[in-house]
This record gives sequence, structure tokens and C-alpha cells, in this order.
Amino acid sequence: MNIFIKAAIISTLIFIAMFSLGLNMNTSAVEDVKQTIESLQSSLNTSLNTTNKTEIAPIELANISHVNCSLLLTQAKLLGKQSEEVKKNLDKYSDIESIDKKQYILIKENAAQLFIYSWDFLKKVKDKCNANYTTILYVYKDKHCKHCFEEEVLLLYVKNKLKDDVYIFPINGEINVSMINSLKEEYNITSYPTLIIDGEKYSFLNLANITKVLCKIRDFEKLC
Amino acid sequence: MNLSTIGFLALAYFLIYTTVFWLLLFIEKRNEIFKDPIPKKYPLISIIIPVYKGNKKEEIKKAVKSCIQTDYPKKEIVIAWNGPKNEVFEYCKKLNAKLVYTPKKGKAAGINEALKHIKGELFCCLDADSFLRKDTLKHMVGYFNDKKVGAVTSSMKVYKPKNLLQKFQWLEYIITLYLRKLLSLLDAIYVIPGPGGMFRTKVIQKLGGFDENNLAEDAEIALRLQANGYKIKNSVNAFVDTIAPDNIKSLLKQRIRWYSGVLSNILRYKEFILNSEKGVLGLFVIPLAFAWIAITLTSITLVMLNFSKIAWSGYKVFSVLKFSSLQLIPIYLKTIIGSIHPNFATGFMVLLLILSFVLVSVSFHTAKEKHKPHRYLNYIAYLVVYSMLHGIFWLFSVSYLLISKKIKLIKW
Repeated sequence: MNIFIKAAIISTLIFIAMFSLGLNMNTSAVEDVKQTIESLQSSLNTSLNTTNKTEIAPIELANISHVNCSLLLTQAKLLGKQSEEVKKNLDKYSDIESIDKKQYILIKENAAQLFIYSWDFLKKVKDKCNANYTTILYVYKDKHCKHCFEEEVLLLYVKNKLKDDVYIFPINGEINVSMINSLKEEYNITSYPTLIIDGEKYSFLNLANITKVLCKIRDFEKLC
Repeated sequence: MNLSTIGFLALAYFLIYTTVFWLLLFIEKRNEIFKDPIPKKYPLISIIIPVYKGNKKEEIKKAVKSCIQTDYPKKEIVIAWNGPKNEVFEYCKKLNAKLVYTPKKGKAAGINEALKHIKGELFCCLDADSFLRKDTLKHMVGYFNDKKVGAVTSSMKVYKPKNLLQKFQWLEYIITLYLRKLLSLLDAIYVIPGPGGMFRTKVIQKLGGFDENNLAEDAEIALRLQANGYKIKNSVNAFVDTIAPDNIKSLLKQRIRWYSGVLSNILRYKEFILNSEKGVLGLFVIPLAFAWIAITLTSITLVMLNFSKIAWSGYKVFSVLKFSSLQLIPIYLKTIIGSIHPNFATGFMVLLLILSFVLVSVSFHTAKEKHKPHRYLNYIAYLVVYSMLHGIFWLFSVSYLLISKKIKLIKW
């Protein structure tokens, strides 16, 4: 047999094997992301004391008032950490998008909704129990956003400095789901990036300004 | 699936195919690779050493000495001085070789002048910074038993590589040595490198000698020979050692000449491209070369664009953070390391890396070099650093070719 054809047959077989392996790796990556989202959802459900696993009811503090603050705080911090884990996995497996865009968009939508729920929960627990953490909802856009990259790095810097004293929930403002749309409406978000720090809205904050805002809230030893 | 994924998969298939092809060819022809035909006769060989004012005395002396020391029975040594004379010319007079002179500049002009004076049925070109080994000529001459063979190429190695750049070139030459032998088995060699190329004198004289207005006369003569129905063979046992550039500037200059020269000659002999009458060279090797050039140029452009994008973003961020920027470095590193995970491309990357290591290992075997661990470590650095340099050289070469009419030709 001609060597060119032989090489083509062998290469095709190798290619198919590698492609299948790639798809398999991709599937496990999707599962990995889904798993972290599921555990966030499950924790959120537990926190809200609801039995409905697929649909989370709107957060009403009245519904959770029977739980004491110490437990609420533990749950809030767990949610904060799990949200960060989801964000990390979403970034890590962002290449899923190159293979299965639809699935990745669904995952991102699901995660964004859970982030909003978690952020809302943490915010309300903070108010109710006078917790000493700060919540930041960071609303960004992937493209055509002049300061989004800078803001993201600044938030990375802030998180690295303040550790568990701050919980950051990144939301892609371009995701078209009703919850994000209502949030944008409620806070009148028209430009990107927008930050909601402990319920107060800010547009792009540089290092000096973000430090100023955070230090006004609390005298963070490592930042102020 | 988006466009970049489709592009990646196409590239992966292309790379798998080419690597598998070269390995398969090696396996199929393994008995032919090291066998040189036994010469029916030992004709007189004229060894032509083109020299110009830029060559070093010690290197010329060493090159001549290497010719004298070959065990080939019938030979004459000719130094072909080209261009303006200097004190090195006077020095050449004292060497044990015939000296011919032409005021014309360039290696091709020097060889053409020498062709008027030589007596050899065959002639072998040797650069003034290259050295024959004792048995080099004996290994090559047997290929001329076949009357259709117009030239035979040697197997070049880098002479005593000292710095990292020369070590990279050493590796590159070893891989090229292996590939050139495989090309020879397919009758698809498209360059006869200057050091150690042997030619049938009458054929070259009949074809009008070397092209004196060419950046890569060695590629031009290879294509012209084949355009006229002659074959080019390679001996993997005929080693020639050459001194490689030891700095980026010289290497860049050399590569611009080589790459733009080869490319312009392929375009000049465009009748070869996808021509079934030209065999594997026209149907496979030249299209493959074009594909490689396209891939190299696209890859280096993407790498540079991404790099500049990251650098610009980094600059913007660091300019915002000012003194805090140093604290961000470990955060960045942590984020980068944390984002590494097996993904869709990982399998392909690992496979291609393994295949390329096998290819390098086979190249060492072909070049009769030892499989030392540090050489494989060098190969990793070669992949990261030298492949980038290679891409940059191609960018320069193509740009040079596009504007070559406006700037002075880089002469040898």
C-alpha cells in the first residue's frame, strides 16, 4: 500500500482516539463544573431551609428567622466560599465553550443566578446579624468594556488582601436571564463595570477609590 | 464548535500526519538509509572553497586541511576568491591549494569562476567555515553511478557548539539531516546546502553554472537540476562540520537569506507546485513546505498579538496599581498555575510532544549521535525558544521578500 495512504490511515485512527479522549475530558470538565454548581445550589437550599432542590424560592429573611445568627453566618460564609469555587471552575474550564457553547452558556446562566441568590443571602445575613464581612457584586461585560479587566485584577488584589473579610460575586451583565435583568433594573446598571459594595452602587473604581470605599466601611488592617 | 477549535483540530491532524509520515518512511526504508552505493570508479573530485574578504584565516586553513586529510584518492583543492582582495587573499596564496580569482562578489560567482579552471569530473563545494571528514567524499561518490544523479548532498552538523544558540542549531541540523535523507529517498530534495554539496561538473556547466543573482543559489541549482530531469541524492554517512552563527544578529541575517531565498526560488520554479510530473516534490513536499510556512507565520502572529495584548493589559493594570504591582505577581502566577488543567487539547498536545520526541530520537540515531539526557532537555528549550525565533525569522524573511526590491540584497 502507498505510504501516503498508510500514513493517512494511521493518523486518522490516532486522531479519532485523541478526539474521543478530548471529548471525554471535556465531559468530565463539564461534570466538574456542574458538581460545584450543584453543591452551591444544595448549600443555598439548606440555608434557605427549602426542600425544593431545583428551584430556589426568593429569599425572605422571615423564612429563615427561626435560625440563629451563628448558624446563618456559617452558612453565609460557606456560600461565599462555594461561589468562589464555582467562579474558579468556570474560569478554569472556560475552554468547554470552544466545544459546546450552548452547554457552557446554560452553565454560566445557572451559576450567575446562584451567585445573585448567594450574594443576596449574604447581604441580608450581614444586615440581620451585623456580620463583619463585605459583599461585592461585580457586574461586568466580556467585550467592549474599557475598565473590566483592570477592575477584575483590582478585585483579585482586594480578595487576596482581605481573604474571608470580603466575598466577591462576579456577574456577566450580558447574560439575558430575568434575574440579572431585574437586578440591573433595580440598581439602574447601565455601564460596565459596576460594583455593588454592601448594597451601594459604584461605577469603575480604581485602586485609590476602591481602597477609600472599603476603608470607609471598615478599617481593614491589611488594606487601609 | 467554533472556528478556532476547528483550526486547532485541522492543525493537530496535519502535525500528526506529517510526523507519522516521516516515521513510517523511516521504518519502511530503514535498510536503505545507511547504505551508500559502492562506487564503480573513483573519478577526480575538485573541491571548491569559495572565499571572500570576510572569512577568517584560521577557518580557511582548517577547511583546506580537512580537504587534504580526506582519504579520497583523486582530488584537487581550489580556493575561489570572490570580490575585493585583502590580506586574507595573500594568506590564501600560501595554502596548499589552487587559487582562482574573480572580482565579482558572491559565492556563486566564485564557484562559476572555479568551474572554468577545474579538471574534476565531479566537484564538491565547501564553505570556508566548514570542514570535511576523512571519509566524507568516499560516501558520496557512489551515488554518481546513476547517470541521472546530478548532485549529492552531505549531512551537515554544527561544529563544536558552544553557546545555547549554537546548541539549538546543532539540534536543528540533526533533525534536518534526518529529514533530508528521507527527502532523498523520495527524490524530493529542494536545497543542496553550500557545505559539502557534490555535483557532476559537466551537468552544471551545461546548465550554465550557478545563478549569481540569487539569494539562495543552493536552492536554485537544486530546483534547476530537477527541472532538467536530474536527481539529487543524500548520503547520511557523509558528514560535514560547519561553524554556526553564535549570535542572533548573524543568525537572523543568515536565515533571511536562506528562507527568503528558498521561498523566492520555489515561486520562480512554480511549475513544480502541484505538478504530478514532478513527483513527490511537486505534489507533496513543496505544498507541505508552503503549509509549514503558513502555519509558522500564523502561529507567530497569534503569539505576538496575544503577547502584546497581555503586555498592554498588564501595563494598564500595573500603571493603575503602581507600587502594589509587585504584590500582584504571585497572585497572577497562582491564578495561572491554578487554571492549568487537562482539557480537550491536552491529549493532542501530549501525543504531538511524544511523537516529536520519537522523531528527535530517530534523528539522533540517523546522525549517529548518542542519546544523552541533556540533549533531550535542550530539545524542550528548543521547542519553546527556538520555535519562536524560527517564526520570527520567517516573518522577517517574508517581509524582506515583499520589500526586497527596495532594499539592498543581503549578499553572502
